Amino acid sequence: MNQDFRSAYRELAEEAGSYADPERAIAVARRRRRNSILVLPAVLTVAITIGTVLAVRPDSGPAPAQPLGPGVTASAQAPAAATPLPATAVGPATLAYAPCRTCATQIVLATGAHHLVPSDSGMTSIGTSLSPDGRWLSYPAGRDMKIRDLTGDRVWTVASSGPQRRVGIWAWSVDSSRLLLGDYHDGQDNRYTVLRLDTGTRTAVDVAEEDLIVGLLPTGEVLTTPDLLGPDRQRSTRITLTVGTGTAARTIDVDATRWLDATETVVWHDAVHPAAGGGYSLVVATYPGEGPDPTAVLRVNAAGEITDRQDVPSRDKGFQYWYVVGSDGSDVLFGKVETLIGQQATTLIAVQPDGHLREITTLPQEAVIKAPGAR
Amino acid sequence: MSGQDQYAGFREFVLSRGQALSRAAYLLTGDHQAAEDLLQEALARTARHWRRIERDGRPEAYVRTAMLNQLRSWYRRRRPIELPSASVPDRLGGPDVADHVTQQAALARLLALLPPRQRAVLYLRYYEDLSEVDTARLLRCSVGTVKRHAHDALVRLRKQPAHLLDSHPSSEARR
Repeated sequence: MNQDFRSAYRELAEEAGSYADPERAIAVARRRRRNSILVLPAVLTVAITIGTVLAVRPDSGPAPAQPLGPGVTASAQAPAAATPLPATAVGPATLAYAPCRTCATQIVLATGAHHLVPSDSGMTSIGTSLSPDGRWLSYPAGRDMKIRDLTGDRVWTVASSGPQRRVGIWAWSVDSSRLLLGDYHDGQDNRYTVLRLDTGTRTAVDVAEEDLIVGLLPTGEVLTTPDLLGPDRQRSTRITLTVGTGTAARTIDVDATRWLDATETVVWHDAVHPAAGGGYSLVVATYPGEGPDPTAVLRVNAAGEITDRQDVPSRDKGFQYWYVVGSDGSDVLFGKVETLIGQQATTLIAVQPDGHLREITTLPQEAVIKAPGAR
Repeated sequence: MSGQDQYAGFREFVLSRGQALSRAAYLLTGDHQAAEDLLQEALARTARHWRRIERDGRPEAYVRTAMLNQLRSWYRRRRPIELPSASVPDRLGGPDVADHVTQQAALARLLALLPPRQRAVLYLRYYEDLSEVDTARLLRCSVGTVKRHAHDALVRLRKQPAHLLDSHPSSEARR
């Protein structure tokens, strides 16, 4: 460990001045509250405009919005009242989210009810996830991970293998039959197992440290790509997917060259998503860039051939950005974050297999969103 | 409820935790003016939602998260942080106080020159002592990206005096 740097860095913190001025912050907060009331008509106009843009597609009609539940779709402000998750069956969930990074995580059921995810630390957005069909909920319990059947009473507990280790979620299979878990120490020394959700049996899998896990197939095989996101990253119009590990592994080469322009790459994190029925979705991002900036979704069949490209709408990058939330094996979900004062919110948007964009719900800007199937 | 009462808890919170938050802001920016802007913006957001935040009982965590979000907004807008000087000092050495002060200033200046994302990674990894996994999840990126940012940041900071960064950065980045 580089203790010298750590010490110097911490020492540098002592050079900080005193920048906190509560009166100035309160004055700004009051002014913004007044302004937000005044700009409401403008916000509505923008919302209608965005809705129109999203609905217009080249060869088909507008996609109807499909709200997840009355509490979620209501506004980007205060979340609906959530109650503790009952121990009895509640039915599948459609979304898990925390209104902010330090807020309690809640799930939204198909009925529209909100329930708080059990937590012993107050911060469960890390590690909380839903299976693609919304039936299974994972959440951390200390250093262990619990996986609960929301439609029944089964709870699988995957215990960490040591006092310094934790269990994390890596990937759900798109048919919601399996879950890839990692037992790790400080993000390293991962030991992976695949949990069969119907039986609770676990199978160890070896994944090379240099490979990046991007999914789990219904067969229990792990999907990986070379980890090209390290220091030597570069633009790439091709990507190699590896199904399975060891001697049984097989590779699928995807050549997206003719589907991309000169500023785009298919190599970025959260780029690859297995699709139900075989095949994959690839998220295209701009390059060069210091962060992911998704521009399109490529649909790829099981043989690695690209069959379609669906563009993400252009936007004012000064006041809006998109990020990949995940995929349930069909839709690829994005968070559209508005940063302009008075319009700050995150909208969950699905890019459907037919190319339509569908606004799902709007949440607070700082919301941490875990859509079904997302890690 | 009067305005005075509404923000009484906020004032008390800022008075008690303001210096700790100032340290975080300074490490996230490497620049006093930018640190003030960053922290004041986060505090304004906090004040606006104070009743809810106070009810949640984790105001300090909220402000730190707001600063990280704001840093990301700056990065998205490619907003440059103005620096008092664009020059980077040569390698320095010596144990005396003057040297120490100069080294700290040089480290701060180099820190300010880093992209905001790299500063956020350094702050979470080396000040908050978060793991790579937790850092990645807070910043909504992959562990590989955290490694890359840590690696890139440490490579650039190696221009600092040898005793600050005397081991190869990649060994740290692999933690």
